[in-house]
Amino acid sequence: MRIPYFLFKAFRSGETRLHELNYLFWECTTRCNLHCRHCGSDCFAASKDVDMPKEDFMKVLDSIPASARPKEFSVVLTGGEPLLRPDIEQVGLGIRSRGFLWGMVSNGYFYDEAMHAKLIRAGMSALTISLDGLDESHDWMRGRQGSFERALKAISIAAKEPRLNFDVVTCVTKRNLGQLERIHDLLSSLGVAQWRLFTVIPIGRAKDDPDMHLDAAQTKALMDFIVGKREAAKAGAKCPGEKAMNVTFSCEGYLGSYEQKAREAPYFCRAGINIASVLIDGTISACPNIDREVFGQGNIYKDDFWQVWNEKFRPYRDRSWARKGMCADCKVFDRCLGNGMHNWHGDCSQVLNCHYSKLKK
Amino acid sequence: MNKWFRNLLKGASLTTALFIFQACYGMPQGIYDEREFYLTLEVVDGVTKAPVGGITVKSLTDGSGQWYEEGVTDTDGQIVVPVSYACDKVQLKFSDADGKYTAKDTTIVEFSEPLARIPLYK
Repeated sequence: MRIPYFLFKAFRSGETRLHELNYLFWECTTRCNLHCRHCGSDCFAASKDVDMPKEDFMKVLDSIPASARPKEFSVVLTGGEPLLRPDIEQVGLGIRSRGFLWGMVSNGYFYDEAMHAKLIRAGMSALTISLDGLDESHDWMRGRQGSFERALKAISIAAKEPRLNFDVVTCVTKRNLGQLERIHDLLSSLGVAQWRLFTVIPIGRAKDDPDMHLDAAQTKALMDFIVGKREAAKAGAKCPGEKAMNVTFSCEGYLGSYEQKAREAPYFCRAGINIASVLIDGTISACPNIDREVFGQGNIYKDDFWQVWNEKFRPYRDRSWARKGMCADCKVFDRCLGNGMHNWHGDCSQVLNCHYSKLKK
Repeated sequence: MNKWFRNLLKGASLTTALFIFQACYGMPQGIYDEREFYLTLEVVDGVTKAPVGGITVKSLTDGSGQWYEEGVTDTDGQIVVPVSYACDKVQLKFSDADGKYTAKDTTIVEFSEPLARIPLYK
């Protein structure tokens, strides 16, 4: 069912005013075993940053009042590669024993049966594993030979686990756009229930790599692919016993005529409205790929996290500042509010990526 | 929109999609399982009451009959054990690799407190 825009706008205003925190990232390491071409964090195997002690993050969780912890409150371990932390199981238990749900975003390289059993027992209830192409295409993107096989193994383990809300995410580039149909069939054959596609933002290593970024026609082809799969799934659902994979575009970007076709709900960047983060150096921000120099709101080593969440985050909750550059005279600004916050970096004079302008061509 | 109206809206099946989201580069929201909880065990010296780290803990917390090695207690003498509410008792084994403390087997049947203090004796 399509949600009328005037109702959605009222809903979005209400959510912004209430700003209930229910999704908290923890950048628990910036070390990574891979060297991905699209990485926005520029992570390396030997990061200059030391992993934050888990006790420091637990203090943040303890500072959130019990009355402000909805039961779906999820903590997302991200990095770098979270599985490089030797205490990952204790981290999970610490989060879950405080009543929070937790999960992680992983490249899957170290995710085998033993790791899976440990993490499930530590209360992990959601997981995202990245798959960026078939065979060499994934390895090329990830900068390490054999990473495709390892990711595939991880996916096959996680897809069978009923206690996990699991999805696979694919970063769509010029290189893998033509493989989407085959990736779809592969994931379906492994029993994956949810597949999420997104595009690359021009930051970090991806900034100057022309292979990473889709042009207007390719962006449209991606949307058509997603909508086609969603429509086929709906038609297939009429057959008893058949359940097709849910294919969706990620929450980034206002999609114009593809709104509520390429994903369930209308576009809504919830950074700073429902989403916060604690970054590797203690910076309090929203999604980790948002420019931390510009939009960091405090630091857990100097400020009270809960006070920062309640009293700061103004640029996230009032996006009128984004009405500049190509957004200044845009007729859909009211619906888009300048795209996702992660699309504003540096001097913020111009949005880095506009899905709408590509799709309306 | 006040919180009361928001909760009403959240419960309505037609608007569920509005509340289910995941950050662009995040994971889906977790699955809430109210059948489980997490029991913190604190191992202390039976005489001095000081915390004892490095004690290996094994548990039997479900009907599988399989003992699970939880790990060792930290410097505060603590370790967290996941327990299903479907389970009416937790069986535990404590052992000290250094041999300073006598091994102990115990069963906990009262889960009203999230923290259980376990004394070990030399």
